[in-house]
Amino acid sequence: MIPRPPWLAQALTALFIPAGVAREGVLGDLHELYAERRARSGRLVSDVWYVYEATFAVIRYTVERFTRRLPRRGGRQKSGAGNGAGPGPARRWSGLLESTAQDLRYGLRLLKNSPGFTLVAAITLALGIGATTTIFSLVNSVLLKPAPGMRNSAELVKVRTVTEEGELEEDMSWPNFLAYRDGTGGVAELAGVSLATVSVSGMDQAGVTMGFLATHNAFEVMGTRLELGRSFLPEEDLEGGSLVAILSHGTWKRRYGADSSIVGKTMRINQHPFTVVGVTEPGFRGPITIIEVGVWLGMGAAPVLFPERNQTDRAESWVRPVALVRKGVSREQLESAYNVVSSNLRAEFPDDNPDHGIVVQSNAALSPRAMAGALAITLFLFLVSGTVLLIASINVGSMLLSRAERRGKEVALRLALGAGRGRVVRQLLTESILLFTLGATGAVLITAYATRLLSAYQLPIELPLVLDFSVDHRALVFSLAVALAAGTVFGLTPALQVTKPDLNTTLKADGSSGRGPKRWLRGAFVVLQVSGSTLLLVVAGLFARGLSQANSADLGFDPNNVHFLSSEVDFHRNYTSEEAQQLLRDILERAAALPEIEALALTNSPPVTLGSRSSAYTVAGNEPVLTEDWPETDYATVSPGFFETLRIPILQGRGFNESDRSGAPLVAIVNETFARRSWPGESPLGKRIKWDSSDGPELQVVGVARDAKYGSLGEDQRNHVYLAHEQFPHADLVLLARFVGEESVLANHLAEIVHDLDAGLPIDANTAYEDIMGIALLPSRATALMTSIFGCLGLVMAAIGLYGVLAYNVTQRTREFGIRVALGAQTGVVRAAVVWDGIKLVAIGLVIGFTLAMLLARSLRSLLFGISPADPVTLGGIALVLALVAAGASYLPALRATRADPVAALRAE
Amino acid sequence: MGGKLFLGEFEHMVLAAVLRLGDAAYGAAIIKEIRNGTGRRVPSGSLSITLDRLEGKGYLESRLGQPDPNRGGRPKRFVAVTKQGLRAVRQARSAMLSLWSGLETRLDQS
Repeated sequence: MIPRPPWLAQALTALFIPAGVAREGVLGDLHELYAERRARSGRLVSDVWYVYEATFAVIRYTVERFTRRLPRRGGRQKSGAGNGAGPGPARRWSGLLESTAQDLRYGLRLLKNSPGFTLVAAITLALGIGATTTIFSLVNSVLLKPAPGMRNSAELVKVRTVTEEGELEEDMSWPNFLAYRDGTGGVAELAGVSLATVSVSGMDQAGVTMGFLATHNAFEVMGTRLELGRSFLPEEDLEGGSLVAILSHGTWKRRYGADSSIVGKTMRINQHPFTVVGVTEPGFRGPITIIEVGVWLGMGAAPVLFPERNQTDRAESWVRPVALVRKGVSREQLESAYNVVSSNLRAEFPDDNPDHGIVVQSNAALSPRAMAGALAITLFLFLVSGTVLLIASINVGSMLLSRAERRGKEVALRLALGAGRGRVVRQLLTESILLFTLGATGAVLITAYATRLLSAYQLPIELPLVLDFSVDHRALVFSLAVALAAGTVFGLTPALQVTKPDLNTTLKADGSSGRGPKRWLRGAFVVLQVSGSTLLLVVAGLFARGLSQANSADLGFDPNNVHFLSSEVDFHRNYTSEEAQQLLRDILERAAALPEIEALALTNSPPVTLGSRSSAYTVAGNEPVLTEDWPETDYATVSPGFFETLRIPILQGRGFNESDRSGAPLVAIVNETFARRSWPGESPLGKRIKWDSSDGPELQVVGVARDAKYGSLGEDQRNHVYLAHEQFPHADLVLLARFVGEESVLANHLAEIVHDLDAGLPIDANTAYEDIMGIALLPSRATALMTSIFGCLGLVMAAIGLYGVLAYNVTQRTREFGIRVALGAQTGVVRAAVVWDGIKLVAIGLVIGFTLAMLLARSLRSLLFGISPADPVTLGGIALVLALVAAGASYLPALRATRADPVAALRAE
Repeated sequence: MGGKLFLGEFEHMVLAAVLRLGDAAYGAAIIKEIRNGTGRRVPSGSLSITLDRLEGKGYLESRLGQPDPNRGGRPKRFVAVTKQGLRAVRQARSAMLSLWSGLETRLDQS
């Protein structure tokens, strides 16, 4: 296969080179040379080469176009200049273009003539802009990119119902759905979907698939097309209609080898035969874009697959409505139309109607609450990556300042010879923007690689994530805009500074007095950089400390050498409750016989994995009058081996045993916190807990288990109740097994046992318990990793910047030091003065940085696992690191300054 | 940029390379020819602009070949020196040679 060069660079080049022989020639040549290069060296080198060549060609052709050497359309190059047209606006424009082209050429030459400077500056900027562009790409893919294949996404709205308590619900019942669909006189087309995890079998072994139940108009409403076959029919919406499925393009290709005769064939879903009637278009994933949807099922299949999703019960909400608003209808009109239906429903069915009004919301990818969370994270990530960009820009800004000062004489001369200040500033600005644009080019490359790594991420369970973080035109525009803005700000400041001085002194002396506004600007640069990197380091440090704390934290249970196997039995198979229990018992019994097993247990809610279960309860003697005021507690149902498997000690009373089965007295084991809070100072053993509601069962406490973490590692100690699995049976299979020996062997054995008992039962996860816990830790880990990377980047850049600025200040003051040493000043005193200068700046920066970090860390508390934002170890360590960097960065130049022969220093002037 | 018939240094190189390559003269080949002959790395963009200019002066003609899968489906831009171009090269060469003649011994010495 012929390697393909980076498409982005290719597209840009195509855009900037005039069509015809030149474009064909350049792009073809670059392609050919790229392929040869790829054969010799790696991909990265070749990509960098290509981007360089492409950028160069773009700039050359742009300059050429501005200077009108290029025939634009036909032979226009000869007209224009000589036709005696007055200095009209066109002429002025061409003058501006001409001078810009001059500036560009001049800037390019300067950059080319100091390749070291250019390279360091471009890499620095590429890292800074790359950091922000990478974050932007993540945000872009989650919040901005339209869902693929959803052509109507602009006209779609979410229809949410209001509960009696005034809360918004996403789902409605089927009878109500029909009422809303048919009751508005056509101001909108209402479709319904319902997420369905199903097991698909047919051509090969069983597999779990995320699927959607969908009404016949769902595809039309979303605006997607089918690759093959037909959409669902109205009669297939209803129970009793034929069972039909539309395959996703991915399923069709992977599982059925893109079989073009698939339509009409039969597949088995949860053991029911479904007829395939179509295949969706490639890329289409429906309303939840981060999950790969495998199959779409006719709505009529809902009651067949999931008994609780029936089409008659008005109180059972499971249909998620999505509406396509007709043209010319406002959201308010639609909302009031639906509310008319809603109040009619309430009047007609006062007893069992759960809808108390309708709210129409925009069809954003995320719900408002998720959106608020996403925005907070976005803001945080932008803040962190923006700080890296700030530090990088300041480094380059002060490099540009030094360069501009070195050219102070040239600038002064040009000003003295009558060049307008604006003209000179524009020249300097052009250079900096060129440099920042070069950085942006590198940044896009960095982003492309970083996002490719991130997109490949998959959870260690059977949930097919689709993360499309790829760089698109928005990311390109973003990085270019960032580059232009930063280039303007950080190029303009030095440019204005060097063009300000009164000409006399600059021309007479050497423009290096080292005092005045320029020094002040450098000082400000250092302070900003130090505060920025302090901010990054503190946040990174807190996260790292928090994580290590979390890893070493007392979980209250021991996840080492515990294996995790799960399958959602009730989702996949139509087991009755008894059958499911028998299956679980059989699995447990057979697994217990395996030689690797030390202990094993079933639970419905393994600790520190995402999601927890809670229930209302009350204890005798402390009963609130209203059921609504009952407190809530987390709980888990567990089988007898649970405490042994996770090594949770039973502190009082007993654990569960085989006698705790249905029919026997209902028992509970509570944790220490529950016992302490409910019966302070008393023994909890024998106490009674009223469970769920006043009609609910009463449990007797038979034991107290040690406190553990249940929801997340960072949580405060929570109440927890364990119920006996056999007394509160459930069909979710989560098997925890403490094992000895090779885990992979155990995993295979367990899978064999499950498939032996039911070949059609798919397994969601069959992996180490710590992997599953890792999912719960993911947000903290990811944030820690990102801030650490950004923090280290920031520190290195800030250190280089600090050293650069101080070293520069010292060389500028060589003459002053020479005089002081010649007049008898102790070298030690001079050195101390220089170091003190550095320390002062760093100290100011540290204070600002710490303050900002405190404010930020306070809002991140939940991710810090109990580490205080003012954690002395983190703050002290960071202050020390930065002080060392500052001391080193200022001592070296100080040494050099005082080592110089004073006479030589004076003579050099 | 020099007078009507004189050539810039780079233009000179490009024309010479095109003549050396004959029928096989196109972008990438010219870049390699110049690199092999002079060690100079020529960016594709620079070469293309020079080809445009030389074509504008009437020294070169270019035509597109067949679409080529090795080039991402793009054709090669073949160039050939025109009569006028040949005259310019000849003139430039003889001007250079006459300036250099008699200096061989001095150049070899140092």
